Parts: sequence; C-alpha cells; structure tokens
Amino acid sequence: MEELLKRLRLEIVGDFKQHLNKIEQTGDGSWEIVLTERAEAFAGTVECPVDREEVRIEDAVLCPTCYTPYHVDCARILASRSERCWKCDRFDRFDLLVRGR
Amino acid sequence: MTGYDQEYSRRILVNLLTDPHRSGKTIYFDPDSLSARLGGHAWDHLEAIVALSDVGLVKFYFTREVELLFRFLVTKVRMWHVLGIKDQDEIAFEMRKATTLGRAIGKEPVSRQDQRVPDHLEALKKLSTQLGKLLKLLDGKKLVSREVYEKVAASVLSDTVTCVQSTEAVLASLKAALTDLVEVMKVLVQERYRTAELRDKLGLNLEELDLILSSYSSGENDCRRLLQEADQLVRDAFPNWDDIMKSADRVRSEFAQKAPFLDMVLKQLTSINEMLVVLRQA
Repeated sequence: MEELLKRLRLEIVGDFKQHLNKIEQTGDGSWEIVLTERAEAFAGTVECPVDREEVRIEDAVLCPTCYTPYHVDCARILASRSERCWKCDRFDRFDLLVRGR
Repeated sequence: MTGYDQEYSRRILVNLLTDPHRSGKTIYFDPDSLSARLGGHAWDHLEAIVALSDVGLVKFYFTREVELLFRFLVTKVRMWHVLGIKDQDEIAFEMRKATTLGRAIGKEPVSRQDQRVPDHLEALKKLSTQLGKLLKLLDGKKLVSREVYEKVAASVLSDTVTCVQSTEAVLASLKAALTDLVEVMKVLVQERYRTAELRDKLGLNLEELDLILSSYSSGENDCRRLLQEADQLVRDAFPNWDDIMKSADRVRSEFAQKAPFLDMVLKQLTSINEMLVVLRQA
C-alpha cells in the first residue's frame, strides 16, 4: 500500500534556477559556471548521467538549460563529440563550459 | 525515520533539482530513485521533503489514492492499538509515518483516547458469562415458577450492570475502530473495481494503474488480516459469541425494559458482529 507514495507530486517553488547558478564570461574570454551562495549551501552529491557516478555539485559542469550536472571529463567528452545534453537534448555547446577547466 | 536533518534536506533538494525525470518544476516523488542516490528509506525522504515544504521550497500535490493511503495508515494504527497486537514502538513508528504523510497533504490524524481490548479481557469475559447466564435463564423460564425466575433474573441483571459499566468504553473503542476499518476496506474494494473497470474499458496498460491496483489489493489484504485478528480477539473474550448473537433479540426483548443498559450493550455487540460478518462474507 505504501507504494502509493509514488503518486505524490512535488513542485519546486519559485524561480530556483536563478539561485542555482549562472554563466559568466571570465577575463580570458572563457565561460564559467558560478554557483550562488544558496546553491553552494546545498553541498550534496548527485549523479552524472554519462558515467552514472556521483559528482559534487561544486565541481560539476552544469547544463545551463536544465542544470543536469556532469563530471568535467564527461563534459569534455560531450564537447569533443558536439553532443547535446543527455537530459534536455537542447544545449550542445559543452565546449564553452569546459574551456579553461 | 531519522527526524529533521537540514543537511539531508539540502541533499534531497539538489537531487530533486537535478533529477532527469523532473519536468519543468514538477516531479513525482520517487523513493526508489532517491534511495539509490542517497540511501535511506522512503519515509526518511518524505520527512526531509516535508521539511523543505515547511520552509516554502517545495509544494505537494496529491491524488485521492494518497489520501486513501493516509486514511489506511491512521486506521491501521488505531486497530493495532485497540487490538493490542503490536508494541508501542511499532505503533509510534507507524503513527509517525501517518503524521508525516498528513503534513505533506495537509491533514492531521485525529488523536483519540481509545481503550485497548487486551487490558479489559477479564471484564469482557465476565460480561460474556453474565450474558450466558441470561441466555440459560431465558431457556429455563418455563421450568421454574415466576417468582423464582424474577428473583434470579434481578440478581443476574444487577451483576451484569457492573460488567457493562466496566466494558462500555472498550466496546465503544472497538466498535469505532472496526467501523473505520470496514469503511476503508469498502472504499479500497470500490476503488479497485472502478480502476480495473476503467483500465479494461479504455484498454489501458499503464504501469501507474498496475501500481494502484496492486496497492489497493495489498491494502484490502491488510484490512482483512486486521479483521481476522479482531474476530479472534472477540471470540477469546466472548467464548459464547455465536450463542449471544443468535439470541440477542430475545434477550433484549425480555430484559431491556428492566435493564436499559442491556439494550445498549447488545446493540454494540450486534454492530461489532455486523462488521466482523464483512470478513466472513469477503
């Protein structure tokens, strides 16, 4: 009967994306993901969809469209193959995110 | 369940934000996926998410199946307590689950001062003996003179008053708990039929429907098991239960005028029996 818990739907309140991170261009022309204080406070580990291994959100390369976290190495692979984000299938410029990392 | 842990709630939030199954801002609660990623159990996760909802980061939406699960949990806990079939730790643990789910869907379990049947077993057995005596007296009415009959009846009835007074509250608790249980069981059966019919009519073969149907079935089985326990306990307390039920109307019409309390207790016992009949018919 407790399986019915799966019928609970959750909604994340507010515009959480603006608190999670933003992309900034650095002085040398490369791009980097900036985690806001609130996002850093999350300080948990999540899973990279490429190798299904844990990735620390602070070290992750986040897809700017859907915020799926990738290991830097995994993001490099996606960049080298010009692949799209494995989750949202919308963002395909991982080369911008891994440049200089 | 480990209680509120801010760090754990944060980790849950990160997981919700980065879950590939999230669609926009919404996501179904998936205890299996959270357990695989963070460890722990479904109720730990739910407790952490309820903490997030308390601070306004997460909102819950629920279907009537979830509401039914809440009712089921509350009723189960009530039955466990009244029948005395689980120890206090288990009851407290289950109650905490119900409370957590209640917080998620904005409902609160009603606190009740129910009596436990095992605590009053001796008193119930005495009542059973007294009712047995009244039955025998009724059967032997024609064999003795009216004076003797009246005298013995008055004596048995005066003893019965004390038994009724000491068992009144526990019988009321048992009746109320059984009423809740039978009602939940009926809703589960109805909902299962309705869902199965819908599935067959529309030819749907969805994982979600299978989940709902199997959950309803397991809920019904749990209810049936609880009714069995109640039936057994009632028969332990009233060894002559079937005789009492067969002759309840006769006893009531004969003695109720002289002893109105008897009418009340027999009505209670009859309604308890009606609910246990649900089990035998099922």
